[in-house]
Amino acid sequence: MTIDYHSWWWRQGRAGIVIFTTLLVVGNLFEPLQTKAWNPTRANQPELNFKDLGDNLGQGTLLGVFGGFRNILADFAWLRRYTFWEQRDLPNTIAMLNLATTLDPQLQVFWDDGSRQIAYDIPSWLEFERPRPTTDAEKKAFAEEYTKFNHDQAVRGLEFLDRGLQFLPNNYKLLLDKAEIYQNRLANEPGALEEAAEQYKLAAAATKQVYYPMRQSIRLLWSLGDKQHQFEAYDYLKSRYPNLPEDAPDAQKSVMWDTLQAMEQVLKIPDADRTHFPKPANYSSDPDFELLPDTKLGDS
Amino acid sequence: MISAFRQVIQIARLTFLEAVRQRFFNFLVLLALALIGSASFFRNFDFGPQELRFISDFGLGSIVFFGSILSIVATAQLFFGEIENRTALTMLAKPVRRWSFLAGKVLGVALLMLVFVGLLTVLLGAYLWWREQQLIAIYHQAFLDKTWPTDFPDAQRVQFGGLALNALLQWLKFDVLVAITMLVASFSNTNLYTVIVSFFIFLICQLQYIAHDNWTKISSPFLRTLAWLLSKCFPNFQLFAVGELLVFPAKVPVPHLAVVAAIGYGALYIVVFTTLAVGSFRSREI
Repeated sequence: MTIDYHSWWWRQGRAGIVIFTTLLVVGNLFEPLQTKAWNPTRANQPELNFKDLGDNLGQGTLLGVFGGFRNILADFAWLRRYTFWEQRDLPNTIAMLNLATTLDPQLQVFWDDGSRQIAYDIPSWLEFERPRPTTDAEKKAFAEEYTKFNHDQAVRGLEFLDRGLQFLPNNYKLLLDKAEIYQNRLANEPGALEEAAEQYKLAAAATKQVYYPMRQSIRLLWSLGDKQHQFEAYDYLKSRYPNLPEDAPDAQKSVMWDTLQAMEQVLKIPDADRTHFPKPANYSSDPDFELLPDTKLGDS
Repeated sequence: MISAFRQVIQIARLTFLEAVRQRFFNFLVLLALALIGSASFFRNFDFGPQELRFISDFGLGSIVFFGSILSIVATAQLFFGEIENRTALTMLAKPVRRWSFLAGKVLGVALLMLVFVGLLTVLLGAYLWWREQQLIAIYHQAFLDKTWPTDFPDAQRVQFGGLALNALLQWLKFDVLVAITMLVASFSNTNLYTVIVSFFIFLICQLQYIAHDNWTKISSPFLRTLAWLLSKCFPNFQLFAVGELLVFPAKVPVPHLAVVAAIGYGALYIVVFTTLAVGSFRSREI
């Protein structure tokens, strides 16, 4: 067999091999340069990091192609989601939520609002989708289905927030959302309220300006009723109290002081082990404020 | 050799003049300018709190989007214009070497892209500066009146040196794309084919980072090899986004070496693709 060195195939094939080989060699030679420039870029854009190719390939396409227009496209996806949400269109609402958060994962409002829609709004759509149950058997079946759907959506909401926390680590609002989902949507599940109290603690630790998560954690732990959790609530408040500012009304230092006294009374803390923190300078008792369920404040 | 370089400069000058007279170039410039100018309008759709960052992202998005289109289309049009009008034949019949012709074309389009990027960056910079001054004044007054707890945060201030450096990096990226398009044009027969193939290569380069970062995690040997080849044979266009991180203070500081590496990476790839285009063009029948 003779080779026709002037044929189109020979010339194009040879050129193709030369180009391919050159690029392969060059790609390997330039690898150190690429790594030096690429690592800081990736570190500053966590959305560019993919754990695996599979499901994220489509998202990668979006991110890669749109560049600087990602933000505005994310905003339009977010607006589009409202239309689907109004129509109670579950697949498209979720698709738009994912699109918006993929294109602009640094925006807290997407995670914040999105998680609430997943965990609170979507479960209620089941009532519109199913015919109204009439018989007892139908009512029981619907209740079971609703409970399961409610649980699944709450878990999806938590997973959504966990994804958000990868991009916005230690964001107190997202941690607060997690705590509220545990408390409001999964309250009947074992360990959910303890987890809610833990998330409130994390949210409280993540902010210096908002004191509500701290109070919620104390309240939840106390309301669990057993001594172990009540001591945990007491120790937590004891550790936080000295850092509460007196001039911030939201910190409610007077109420917290009352709460500490009430806790020490209920838990029968010996006088020597009590905190003996001085009364706040601008102390004003609020007898209607009931932080600890079934425990009257201001008696001490 | 000196005369060959003179020829390159001369061809580049003519290519540039021809390119700036094209309606397509002027149309894209106007469109991009209009988009940057209307960034404040699009801000109405934004849910993010930082206005300057939005305007900057939007402006840089316009530059990247229209710049990529211009790099591919202008290169293909200018190359095939010479072939179809037979001016290339006339030129190459004279003592003009093929590499001078091609290098001149690449340089001419690179100059065009420099004007494009420079013009849009200057406009974006001016717009950002104007808006930043307004915001600083508003914040400062609110801070003095004690209606806002902090003065204008440093993290939201525009770094204009970073903006200029980003323009340089984007220009280099466009030049790599110009050289790639020239390589495709050097062996293809039509303008349309060149534009389509170059656009697909551009997409692969934009997404190369997925293959680069993930090929080791793929279990299928065939796909793994394919991803490895993609990550080695195509340049990573996303790494030029390091420039975008310089416009505002980055969360993780960007080392100077990373910027130098990106510049070197871009410059070397321009040389490599232009050289390959020259090699391919030498054996082409015109």
